[in-house]
Amino acid sequence: MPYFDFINLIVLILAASSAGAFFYLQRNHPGFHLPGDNTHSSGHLEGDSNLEGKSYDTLHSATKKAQAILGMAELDAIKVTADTRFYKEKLEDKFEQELQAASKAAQELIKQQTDRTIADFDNYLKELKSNLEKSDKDYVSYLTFLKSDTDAQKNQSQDTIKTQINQIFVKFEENLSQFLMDSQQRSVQSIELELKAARGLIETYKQQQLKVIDENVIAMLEKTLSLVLGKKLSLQDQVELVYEALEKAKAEKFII
Amino acid sequence: MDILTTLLTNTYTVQDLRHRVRILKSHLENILFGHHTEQLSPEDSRWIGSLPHSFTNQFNKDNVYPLFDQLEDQIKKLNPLVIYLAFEPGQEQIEKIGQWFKKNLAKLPVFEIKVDPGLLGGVALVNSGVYKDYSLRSKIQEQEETILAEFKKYIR
Repeated sequence: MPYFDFINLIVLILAASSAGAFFYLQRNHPGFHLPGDNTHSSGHLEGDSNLEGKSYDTLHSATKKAQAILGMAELDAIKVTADTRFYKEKLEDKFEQELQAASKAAQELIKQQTDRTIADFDNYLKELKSNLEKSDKDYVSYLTFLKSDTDAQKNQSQDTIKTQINQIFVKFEENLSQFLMDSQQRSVQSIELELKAARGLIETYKQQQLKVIDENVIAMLEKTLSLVLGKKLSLQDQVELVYEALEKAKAEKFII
Repeated sequence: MDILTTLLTNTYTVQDLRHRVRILKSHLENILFGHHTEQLSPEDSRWIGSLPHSFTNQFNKDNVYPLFDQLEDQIKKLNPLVIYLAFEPGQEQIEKIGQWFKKNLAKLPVFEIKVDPGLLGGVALVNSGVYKDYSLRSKIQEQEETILAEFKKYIR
């Protein structure tokens, strides 16, 4: 790879040199043309033949110089390639050695670090274990404390709840008893009131009915007597009653 | 004795009086003017026959109508004693009542019979616009308290 890059570089340099030489010639010699170029006026044909010859000579010498330079460049390239290959191998050997040394040192260092880390980790594990054991003991003791405390609170709560329930029951019994007594009293009062009202209604009804009877008993009697006497009394009896009535009217001096 | 007094000798009620005035007028028209007379009942014929000749002779063609007009005016002015009876009386009972009046009162009143079965018995009278009940009903009403007390013994 470095070999091909070097050749390309050389060819590029040669091409640039050729182009530079061409432009230099054209500036210093305005009639200079490349072979086959017919763009110039026909008035200058004779002068142009001389210039063309010179140009060909120049171009020929330049080509020769370029070929010489190219040959030297190829030689230099081959030499550089050989040197490069040599130095490359040498550098690779040295790099290999340095790499091995560095790898070895790194391995040593990694080993030491690993050992140290393992030791530290072992220490950390031991410390962690001791801390865990201590925490476990503390946790167990805390749990024991919590259990005993919870039991105590539970017992206390049970006692409290039992006491409160007993109080509630006692109060409920008292309230229920009072409520039942009040209800009974209210019921009795209500019944008494209803009874009193009913008795009042009955008495009122009785008085009304008695009044109706009082008012109608005479009418009933009169009607009964009318029906009975109308059938039983003879005309003579009626006349006798008329005489009796007239006697009374006379006695009262209603008729004279 | 004027005509009305003669008629009231044996006529006791206003109804009978009007009836007898009507049949008398008819009778006299028949005698004086030969008008057709209605068929009289035996009782009416007997009453017409009982009238004295001097009574009927006082009527003639000229005065018969003025006299009857005068008589009707007198009847209208009568203030009869209204007698309420509990039964419908016949002529016999009316005459008995009239005879009682004739026997027991100083002045014989003309009376008007009305029927009220509610009286039960006895009479109620209206004299000069005043009502007085002497019936059996009034006796019961007078004894109302006593009767009610007796009834209440069985009710209460």
